[in-house]
Amino acid sequence: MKKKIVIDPVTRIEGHLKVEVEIENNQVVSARCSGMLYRGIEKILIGKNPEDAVQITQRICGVCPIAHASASTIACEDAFGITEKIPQNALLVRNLIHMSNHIHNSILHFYHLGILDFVDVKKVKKGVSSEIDLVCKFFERDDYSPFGLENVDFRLPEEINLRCLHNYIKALEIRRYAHQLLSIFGGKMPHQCGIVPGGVTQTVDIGKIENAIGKIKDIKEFIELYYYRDLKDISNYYNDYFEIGLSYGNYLAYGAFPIKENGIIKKFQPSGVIYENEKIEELNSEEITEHIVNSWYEGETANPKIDFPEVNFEKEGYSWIKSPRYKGKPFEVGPSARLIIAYKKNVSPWKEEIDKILNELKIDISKLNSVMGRHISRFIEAKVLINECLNHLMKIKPEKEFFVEYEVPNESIGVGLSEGARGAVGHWIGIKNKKLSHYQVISPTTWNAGPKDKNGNYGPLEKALIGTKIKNQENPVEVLRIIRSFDPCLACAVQVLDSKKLKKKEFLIWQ
Amino acid sequence: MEKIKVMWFQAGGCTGCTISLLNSSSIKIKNLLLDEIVPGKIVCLIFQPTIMAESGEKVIKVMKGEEEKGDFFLVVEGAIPTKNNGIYGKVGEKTFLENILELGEKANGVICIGSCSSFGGIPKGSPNPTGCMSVKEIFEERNINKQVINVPGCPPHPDWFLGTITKIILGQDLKLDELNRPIDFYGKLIHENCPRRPFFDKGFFAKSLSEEGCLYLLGCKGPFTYADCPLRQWNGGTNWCIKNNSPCFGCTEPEFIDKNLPFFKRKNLEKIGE
Ligand code: SF4
Ligand code: SF4
Repeated sequence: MKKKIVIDPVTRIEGHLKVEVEIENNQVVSARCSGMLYRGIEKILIGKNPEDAVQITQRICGVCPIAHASASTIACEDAFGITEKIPQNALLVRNLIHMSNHIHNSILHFYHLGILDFVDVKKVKKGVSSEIDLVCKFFERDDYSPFGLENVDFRLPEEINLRCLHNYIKALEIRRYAHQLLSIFGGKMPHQCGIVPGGVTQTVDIGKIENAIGKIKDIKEFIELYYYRDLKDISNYYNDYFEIGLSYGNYLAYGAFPIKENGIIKKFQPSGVIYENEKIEELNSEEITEHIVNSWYEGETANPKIDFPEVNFEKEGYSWIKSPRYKGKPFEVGPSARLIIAYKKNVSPWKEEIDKILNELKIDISKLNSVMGRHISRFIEAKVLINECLNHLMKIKPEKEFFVEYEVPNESIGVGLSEGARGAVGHWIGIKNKKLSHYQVISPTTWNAGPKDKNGNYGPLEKALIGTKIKNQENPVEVLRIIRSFDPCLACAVQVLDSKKLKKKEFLIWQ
Repeated sequence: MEKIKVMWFQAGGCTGCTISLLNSSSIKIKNLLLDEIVPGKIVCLIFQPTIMAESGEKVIKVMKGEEEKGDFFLVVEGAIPTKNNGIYGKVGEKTFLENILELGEKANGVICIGSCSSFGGIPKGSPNPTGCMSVKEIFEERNINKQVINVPGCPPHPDWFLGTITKIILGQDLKLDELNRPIDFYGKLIHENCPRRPFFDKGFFAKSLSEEGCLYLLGCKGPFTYADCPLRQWNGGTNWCIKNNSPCFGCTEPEFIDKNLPFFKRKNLEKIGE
């Protein structure tokens, strides 16, 4: 008999997610993911000034607003025809802002969203560190806590468990430093105000450089010493999770962090497309469509450049997430996708850094396609990017310009492709009478967590869930670990939910 | 030990308010989560979806159980969609709207964190596709008589929220302005404390982001925006909007966003004070 498990809300992710899986003979046989919130931000943008979209679209997601600021800015500059004119200083400062946001997200995701799936907070004892004493006192008071999972296969030995827990609390502080680093250049965080079409608002003087170096050093030390050790131990004790949560092996990345080298704009992190772990090709954004056969929108497919699909409540389907496809196929986006692409393209320093870690962990590159692989990829990114922050800082020339003037054209179109911590982010805009006449956002979570497409292919997250063995149906922790490895961001995925459309539940346990 | 129970409900927002709170550097977030913030009194976060360990029905049970017991403060992050009976946002099989009404009824008081729950914020921007409303508007429409404290900002500074909570815990008199904002934090205009004020007074205005001067002509909403950003600054005193040479967008005001757009231009030269 099939059993259906519904998890609503999935916590420790960004936004409102509900997941349903069907289980037969202790194995997941089908899966569907639904977002629980729709805000219609794209509609709000119509008629507004193009440069205001940079601020408004940041509010799509408070965890990774920079990805949207960046995509929106690039789309504007494309439409204004000023892409080539952006000063090198501005590119460097924007990248610093963007990189610190990725670093913040890696730390936040591993320690504050992910680690409680692997670390037993209830196994604490006094006298280890002042941080852990706080946790002990907390449990003594017997508050209902936001911490503490029950009946889960926790496997870490006491010492490592305590260390990870200690670092959970330490990481709260380090993540804050990453935001401080960002706000040196971005003004404030969340929702920075430094990135604007034409460049950045603020110049960088030696005081800022000095301040930034201090922050970078603290963060770097934490990443290289603590984060690495905790991750290595967790991946060791939970090494079966290198075989769990595999998606198609199709990867896509738009690439990020453009800088000028000899007058030519190059991305520090490359773009690319990989099919079935093997075939690699260059990205062509014209090949992106959104499949909406199983989503409650008018039509079957949509072209983000021109279409603005309207909501249709009556249509058959099972999700409000649209499913972006490249040449009609589903692709995983995010840290593993980016790293595998950079690796196969032999891009430095990614290739060297990835090889180093893979050798130390005794795994090969294909293992990045798994629950544990995604955690490892996030770590490698944080490590490479914090070092690159220093290199970027050194390249800033305070006496040169940080901003160029521009005219908003009467009519134009633009595309902005960038990377959020969770993967490829694209903004497609149209301008008429100097105002926005079109706006479509394709966010990473739609690539990963979209429903079945026109050809009957599951979305990558659904694919990763199907076939998973569930040890304890009362507590399907495997399912949650897989979902969280994708770091879904539901505010990003901008969907609506209509529960009357869901089939009657035969059996329902909540986790 | 006195426990002040807080239930944190996320509605139609971006989680930016939660992330901003994690950035607190005066009272550190670890103290808020685990420790007493003033002697003998602790804040007990009984429900916080971004950081709590459990998922699914267990957390909904906690929410409902505590709702039954009452004696908690409700914190709302995000605007509440009301169009089509609020189907645009749901958690645990109920719309945000139903949840807010039920929880609001039982709560000792409601604190709206961020401009979305305080005034509607960005999701309420025209044409307001999901019919978003603020908590106060929803309560007023339904004659629910409950104290609502607004801590707006997009997102709010962590001190604005934690300072408000601390005042409540200490039992100090919390004075609110006519928009229900604590005047300790929202008592003065950005313009009153802005370091570029001498430029403004001398009529020295920047006409482009690459120029120096007061940002008034570049759309600065400082003269109409109540908040203490110039004094407090952001991210542990690192920086803030105008110091970063970006105009204030007026993110703590109900005019955010419709009436405050465009952000980077002056529509017409409003006279200050009108
Ligand atoms: S208009 Fe803005 S920049 Fe100018 S003095 Fe007032 S608050 Fe400061
Ligand atoms: S300066 Fe203005 S826009 Fe910036 S945080 Fe303060 S109130 Fe909001």
